[in-house]
Amino acid sequence: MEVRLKNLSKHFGKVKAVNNFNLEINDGEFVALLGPSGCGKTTTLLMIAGIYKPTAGGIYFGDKIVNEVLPKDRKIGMVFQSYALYPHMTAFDNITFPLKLLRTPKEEREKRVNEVAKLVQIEELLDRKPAELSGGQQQRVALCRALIKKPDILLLDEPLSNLDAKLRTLMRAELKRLQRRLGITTIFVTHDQVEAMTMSDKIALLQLGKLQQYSSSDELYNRPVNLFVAGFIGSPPMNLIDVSLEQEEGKLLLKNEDITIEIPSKISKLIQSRSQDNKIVLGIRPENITIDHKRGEEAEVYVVEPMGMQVLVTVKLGNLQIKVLTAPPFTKKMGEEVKLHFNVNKIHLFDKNTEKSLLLN
Amino acid sequence: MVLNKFRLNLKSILAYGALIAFSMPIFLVFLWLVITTFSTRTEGLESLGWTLSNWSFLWKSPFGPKFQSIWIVTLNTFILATVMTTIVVFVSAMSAYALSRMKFAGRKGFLSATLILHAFPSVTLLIPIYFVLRWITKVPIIGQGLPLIGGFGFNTIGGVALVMVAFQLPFGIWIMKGFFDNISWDMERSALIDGASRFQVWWKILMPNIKPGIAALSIFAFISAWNAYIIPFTFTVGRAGKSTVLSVYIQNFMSESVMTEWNMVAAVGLFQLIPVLIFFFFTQEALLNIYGGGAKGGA
Repeated sequence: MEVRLKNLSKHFGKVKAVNNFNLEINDGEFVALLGPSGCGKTTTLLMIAGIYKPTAGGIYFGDKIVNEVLPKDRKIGMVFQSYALYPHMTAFDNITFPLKLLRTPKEEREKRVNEVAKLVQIEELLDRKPAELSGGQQQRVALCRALIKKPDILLLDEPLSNLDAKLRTLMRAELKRLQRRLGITTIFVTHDQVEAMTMSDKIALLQLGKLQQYSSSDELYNRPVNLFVAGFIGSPPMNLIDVSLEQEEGKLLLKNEDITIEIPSKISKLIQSRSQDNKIVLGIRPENITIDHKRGEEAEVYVVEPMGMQVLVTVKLGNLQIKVLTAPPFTKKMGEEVKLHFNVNKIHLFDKNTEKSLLLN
Repeated sequence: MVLNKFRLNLKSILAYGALIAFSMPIFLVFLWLVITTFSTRTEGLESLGWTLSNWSFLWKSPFGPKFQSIWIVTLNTFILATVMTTIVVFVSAMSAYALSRMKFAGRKGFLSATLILHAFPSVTLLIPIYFVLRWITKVPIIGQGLPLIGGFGFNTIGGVALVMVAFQLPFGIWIMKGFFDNISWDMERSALIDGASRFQVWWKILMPNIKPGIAALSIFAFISAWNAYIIPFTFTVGRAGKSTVLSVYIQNFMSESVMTEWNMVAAVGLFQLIPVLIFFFFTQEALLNIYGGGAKGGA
């Protein structure tokens, strides 16, 4: 089932929780609503579920507008962050609750429970109450309850955030497989970019109720449309440095008191035409800076954080702190001199005032 | 080590000593009550002759054969307490759900109004309520033609229950609202998505999860109905009349013309107390929960 949000807004009093949100989700797609807390992602999900009524705009399932359709008639399944299992019912009763309300015959109910329980391997736990289940098991029960109605759309609200780190990685992969196997259009809300990037086909990144960018994780990482996206996506985050655009000897330079970087000629024209004043934010990811190169900017090692596969080095360049990812072994100590080389083909440039990317349309 | 242990003991001895000292008067009064009921006369805690005659009300009416037996009166009390408890719990639970979960005009005003009503001295309303009940009496069937509870008018158990429900509701609503507030919204939303109607959500999902609250309020309402005096006394008539309850029955012993038989008053009083004691013994945990306001293990 395709889902479309058209100019969707939700205001709570004066607070615009969701503001003019447009989104198109194709049938069978796995889409993440990503953003910091308070960005309106859960509000959006609850509007899609029918719990909240939009202040303005429309929600379409297929060609049908569903603004006025009750949650129970929307053919959706939802898993809540808290799982929201009914504590007084066994796992079996929890899962069959939607069917019971539909007055499905008992044999049919049992058959369907066994089907979904098999999907997530909880056949042995069906007679337990939620309090007797671990977090991961509770989540599977909640997932079963969402799936048993054979919904057209599956909604997941921070489905992994209550699990421990190991289980989270496991469930991430399992959820992704399950979604692919069942082919249900799935929308999930998360504040964790790793979850969003690993699981979903497309990510809608929100901030303060507004959609910032809607694209694949690859696009989001490599072609951020604005400063917020650039700073939010990526861990460790992108280095963002205030510079000004200057022309010297026919070359276009990005300069501040600590750093001078020459812009490759293929983008220099683009920049010149787009930048209104000369204030620019230079963005460069830690993996696109090389350390200990023979030539380059001189800097001082500030702190070294080995992470196993890579070493995160923070260096001081004048007043700037720059994060660099480098391959181990890294032998320099705190306070020692290093040289930095910026891979200028991988830089991102943003207008300081509009915060928009100067490189993308 | 030894000194520490001794100190700890000394500490607990002091604590227990203080507790016993403070509880003793209450305990002695109860003991006195029990001794009195089995004595012809007492001097302090000392019985001046043991007897069972004070308990004769159990098999014959002390006011003569024309009057109701104690068992009918007890049944009346039981019906009153049950009817009142049932109505209080259901109405409180429904209005508390609405107040806890729904947005509507006047919600805040309603909440503060219930709080004020809770603090309102009920005695001041007795006379207006009398007129209301007299008016209800004139309504056919509902007034005084119903089986068991008599009806909802003056001098009926239903009428007394109705008045007591009204006085109990503000308290009940506040208590229940506290319990509903503690249940996560997610559970309710989940049930709505699962296909439940608002009423089904209330009945199938929320009510089972506030059982401690229901239990606590039921006990509280039941006991206050069982012990109620002023309202039953005002709105029923006659010594041991058809709608009399136990507390009013006791009052009948204290007439002005005859010497009050205190030993018999004590016996009836103890008789009235027994169900409450048994009830409390089994339910004290739930009852104490009422001020905790939390659903144990819920949500």
